[in-house]
Amino acid sequence: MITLDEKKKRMFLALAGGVLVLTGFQFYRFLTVDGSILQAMSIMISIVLIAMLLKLSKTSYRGEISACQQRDVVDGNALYEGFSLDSETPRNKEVAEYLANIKDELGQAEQLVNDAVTNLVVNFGYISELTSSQRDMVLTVEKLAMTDDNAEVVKLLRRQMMMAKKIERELETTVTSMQFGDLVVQLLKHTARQINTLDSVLQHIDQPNIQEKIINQSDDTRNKISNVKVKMKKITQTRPVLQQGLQSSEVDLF
Amino acid sequence: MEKKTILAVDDSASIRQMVAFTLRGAGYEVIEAVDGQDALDKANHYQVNLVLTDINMPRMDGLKLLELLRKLTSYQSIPILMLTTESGGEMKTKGRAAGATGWLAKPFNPKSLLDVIGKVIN
Repeated sequence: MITLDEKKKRMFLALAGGVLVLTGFQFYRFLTVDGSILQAMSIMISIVLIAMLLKLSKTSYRGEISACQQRDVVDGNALYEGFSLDSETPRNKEVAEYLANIKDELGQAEQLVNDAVTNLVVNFGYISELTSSQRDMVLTVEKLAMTDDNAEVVKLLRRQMMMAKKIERELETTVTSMQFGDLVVQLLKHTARQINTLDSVLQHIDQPNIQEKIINQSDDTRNKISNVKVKMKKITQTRPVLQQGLQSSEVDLF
Repeated sequence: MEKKTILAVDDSASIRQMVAFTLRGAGYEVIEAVDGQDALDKANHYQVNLVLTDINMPRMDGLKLLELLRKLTSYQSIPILMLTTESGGEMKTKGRAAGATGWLAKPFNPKSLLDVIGKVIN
């Protein structure tokens, strides 16, 4: 069975042969009969053939260019050298759109988390400043009210002071909880990296003649697929966040 | 008594703010850096008593920063603590080999952070 690539190759060779013959003929006519109709016609045919050759070569290499653009996805390593990718098959388009949607949504989630954390940090800073000011104020009033007549007032102020200390302790707990933003963003980025890898793998598997390629270039293709599997495993294993909750984590001094 | 200065390095603005809040509240001077490169520039410009750095950062990561700081004479004996979401053993081993003083996994607890810093900064 003649594949699409082979057909293109044969057509390319036939056209190249035609161009060569015509060019030789023109050269011969140029040397013998100047300005003949035959020479003008042969020049026209040459131009058409050259245009067809250019179009054919563009079609053959377009897929490879797309493949090159996909290569940097996994840790900047070229995983698919030598593969030509026809990214315009309907299925590839569908897969690419589906994955692009997921990536968009991950980006949106990251943006929402960042916005929420930024607002929380601003609120946190404000509450923290107010608590600190209130504590200073209570201390000052307590000093001013330190007489026997104001015993009740001093008692109330001390209770007020205890409340301020409790708020400060709660704020400390909040410092731990508010680090969720960083953990979530790192997890989202890691998931996006995994989707990028999956995207490139699917694009390459979903070629129209992949089965034939596997049969014809078995060792080479299998090695490439095996390399992809290793890379995917590595990305999956190197999780940036292992924490399951927002309990503070361990401390190790070396 | 002169305030001790801590260089806090993290690409996450919220984490930097939380670290700065905790440390300033405990009386430390804090210099903030957004990544390893920024930290290296600031480390060359200021004399700090401790470096607290994240690992995963753009431009220059925390391990590279650690490696470069340890090559500077003035930072050979300065405590460098890694504060990161990475709690995997392999990364920790790399950090230890590169000269990290300690390893704190995020999310950090302010009290634990201050205890650790108090232990190593003197």
